[in-house]
Amino acid sequence: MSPLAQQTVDAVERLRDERKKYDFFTDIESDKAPKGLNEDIIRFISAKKQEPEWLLEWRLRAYQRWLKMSHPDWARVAHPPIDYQDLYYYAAPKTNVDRPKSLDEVDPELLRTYEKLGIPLAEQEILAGVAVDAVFDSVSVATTFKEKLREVGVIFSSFSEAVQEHPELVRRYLGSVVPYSDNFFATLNSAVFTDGSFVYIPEGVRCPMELSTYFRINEANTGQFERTLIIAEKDSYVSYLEGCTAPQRDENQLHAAVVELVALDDAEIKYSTVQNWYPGDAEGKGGIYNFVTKRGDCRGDRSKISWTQVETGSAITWKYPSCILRGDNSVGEFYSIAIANNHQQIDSGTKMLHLGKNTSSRVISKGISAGKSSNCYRGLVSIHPKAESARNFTQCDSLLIGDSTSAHTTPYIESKNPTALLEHEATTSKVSEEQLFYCRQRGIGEEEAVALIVNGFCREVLQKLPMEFAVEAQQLVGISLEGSIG
Amino acid sequence: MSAQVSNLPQGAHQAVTSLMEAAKRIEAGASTGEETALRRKAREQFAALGLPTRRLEAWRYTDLAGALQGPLPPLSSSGDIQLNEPFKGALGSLDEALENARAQAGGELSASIVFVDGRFSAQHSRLDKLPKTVRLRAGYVPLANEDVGDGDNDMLGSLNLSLASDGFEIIVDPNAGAEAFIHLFFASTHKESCSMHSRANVRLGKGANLKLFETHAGIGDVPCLQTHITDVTLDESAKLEHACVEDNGTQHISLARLKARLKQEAQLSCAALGVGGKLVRREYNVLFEGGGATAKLSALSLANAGETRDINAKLHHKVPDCISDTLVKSVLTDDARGVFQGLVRVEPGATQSNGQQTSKALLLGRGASMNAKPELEIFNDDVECAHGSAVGELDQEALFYLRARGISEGNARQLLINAFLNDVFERIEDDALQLAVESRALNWLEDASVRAREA
Repeated sequence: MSPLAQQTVDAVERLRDERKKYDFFTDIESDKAPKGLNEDIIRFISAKKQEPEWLLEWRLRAYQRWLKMSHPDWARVAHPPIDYQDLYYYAAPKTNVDRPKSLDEVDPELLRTYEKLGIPLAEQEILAGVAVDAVFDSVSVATTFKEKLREVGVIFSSFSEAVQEHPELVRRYLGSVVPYSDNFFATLNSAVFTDGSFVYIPEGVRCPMELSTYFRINEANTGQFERTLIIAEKDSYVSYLEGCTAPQRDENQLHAAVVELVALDDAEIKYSTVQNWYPGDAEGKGGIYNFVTKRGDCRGDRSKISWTQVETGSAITWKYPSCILRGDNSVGEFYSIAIANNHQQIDSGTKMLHLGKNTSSRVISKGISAGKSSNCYRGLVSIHPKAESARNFTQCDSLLIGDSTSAHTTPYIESKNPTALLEHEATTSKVSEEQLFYCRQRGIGEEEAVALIVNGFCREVLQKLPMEFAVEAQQLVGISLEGSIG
Repeated sequence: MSAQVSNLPQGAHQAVTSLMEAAKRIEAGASTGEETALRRKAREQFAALGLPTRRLEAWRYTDLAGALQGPLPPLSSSGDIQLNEPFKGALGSLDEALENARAQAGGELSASIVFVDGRFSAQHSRLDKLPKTVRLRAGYVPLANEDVGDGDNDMLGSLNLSLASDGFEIIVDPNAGAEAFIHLFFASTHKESCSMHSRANVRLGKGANLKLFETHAGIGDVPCLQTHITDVTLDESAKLEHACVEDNGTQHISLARLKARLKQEAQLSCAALGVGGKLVRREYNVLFEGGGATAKLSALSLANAGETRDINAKLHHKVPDCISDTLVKSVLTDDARGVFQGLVRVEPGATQSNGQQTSKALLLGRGASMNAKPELEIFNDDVECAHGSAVGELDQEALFYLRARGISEGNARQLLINAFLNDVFERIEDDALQLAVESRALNWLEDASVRAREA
């Protein structure tokens, strides 16, 4: 067996064990608001977080707006109606009342959970060069490396902390990319978000390490409403990693996060996601409903925002990380791998809105469908009349494995400027018999062979991931397709 | 009348009101109870659907309500009137345009069916050379129930069915018609705002062949709404080649649909040139019902200031081993708008399907815009589907290359645009049809490229 094949086989084996490792619950008493959504719950969340008046008002405005909105029906996903009154909107680990001053004070059970997830909260973090702001059931519990970041002036904290410590920054940028009225899920999030991450990179600073947040959903029936805000001042750089796991659950869980990125002149934000939330079992039971609004605003000239995502989890993924290319010469990128197996449904893609001169964007999307899943790429490239000499290149490829799966491509290509140049390519293909035969002939098992071929299909995107994620992602690609052959 | 109508802009409201009134009249004058029922069903459906808004995916980029500017009563005149109205371009009159089109079709033309202002004209038509294997009923309205649906895009079907005043049916016997070449001419001579609605049935028996050359010619700048639906059935191994040139007046809105059902090994080849008119929208709706069938759709959208060209192509692969291939090319000057919405749908059992879609657009004017949505819906893994799309202006380097060799800018532009369009022409198998489409396109280009240079 070739070393590469062996590597993939090992990866799949390893992950098979790891998946089992993820099937557990942590039994921590949580501090919950009663089920249901109304103004009182929103006031409760806001009071719990000791938020300033303006933020509460903003939440309430969003809530009023949300009441008038209807659930979007254009996406190619099907699910029973969500009863928004049957969800908990606030759940915090009890230990939050007295925030731990150091790791020693953190609930040991929680620490063990992170250990199982492989989050390096201890000394090896320095070696890994990763600072972790871990979100456990909506409240940030521990933040590390703060000191080191503070030295260079980088603010990396939980959202609630940022509201307390840097209200002026939060107030200035919150909702400036995704307004509270944006869409059904973003508006809901604006009303009830509980926590998330806040990053501020000052002018001229290159963030010395890759920032990372692990999200983890644990409490049954708890909607997760994360809010992430990243601001890169002039001439700064940050790479942000987001990764998630979720334990086995029987009931569907709703997740409606909002991520806002602001890049000013010459700034660059690289946002990478590995999403492997619980997708439901092989029969399609359970799994996370993931309705996320992610948008980056290249507000400054020569700014750059790059989204890279590996989507392997969730029962439903509804996600369109977008770039508003407002500044002249700004650049937007979207690299995506979306894997759907069993009964998973993915409707994902990107929006590239070219407003400024000489703006350019690149979209590489690799969709893999297996089992009885449905995988849809939905993308928009829009060139506005003033976007002189804008450029876009889009490639979206679909790979199908099995005859009960489906792959869809719905690209919208709109150009209102003759000097713009847009190119779009899409292909649909299957894992070819020839490729499989070649691998099988060399003694590679069928499943391993598929993992190998699929990894090759995704290579362009995998290469865009930061080192830490690339390995994990490669393994995930293999494990996500388990049981798709034969 | 539906609630939607009241929200319309005044012009569109007036248009809808006039169409609804006419539909009631036509319904009352129906000759059989069956027809009355069908017309009523269609009218009620149209009333319920209203005009398509841009919220409907199929009409996302084309604002039909905004394009309708007042009452559009259907004409009730006879088609047998003189065709000496002046026509645009090098041709002196509609008469000459008709003769020219016939000449383009060549000596092998077996029939020429003429409709004037939406009515069949026996006087202008020539049906004497039709072979016996081809049965033609002109001046007849084939009504079909299936057009009355409640889907997103069934406004056109129900509107047309409730108002259609004329049409034709062509039935070609099995294994016959190798020599059948029929020309269709739709002339608009109207002096006042009006609408015209026609329908056609085309059925080819097993192994039959037919060439159809459809030309639309209109004069002047009077608002007009034309709807035309062609229902095609191709039996086993039948082959239809269809080419269409729409060269209408400046205020003409044309909504055309070609539905086709393809049986085993059937071949459909369609080419459409949209060159004249405020709005030319052409829908193709192809359903593969038999294995090994092929559909080749080609469209050329040429538009100047204030004009919109909209191509909507749905290819439905229901059975294995079928091939669909769509190519749409648009050249848009001034503030012209181009639209392409394509959908290749491959059903679970339709293995070995091959679906290709390509849309390319040249934007030559400052305000020109192109919207493309080439969609794929794939429900099995044994397929080969791809789409490509490109939008941009003329390649400056290529232009420089030609200019450096002493070719004037106008000629260089024309040469490049010509090259851009050429692969559409080449897809038209029949020489006469190819020449007809090509000459009209190049004729347009001569005017347009000059204007683009001035801009």
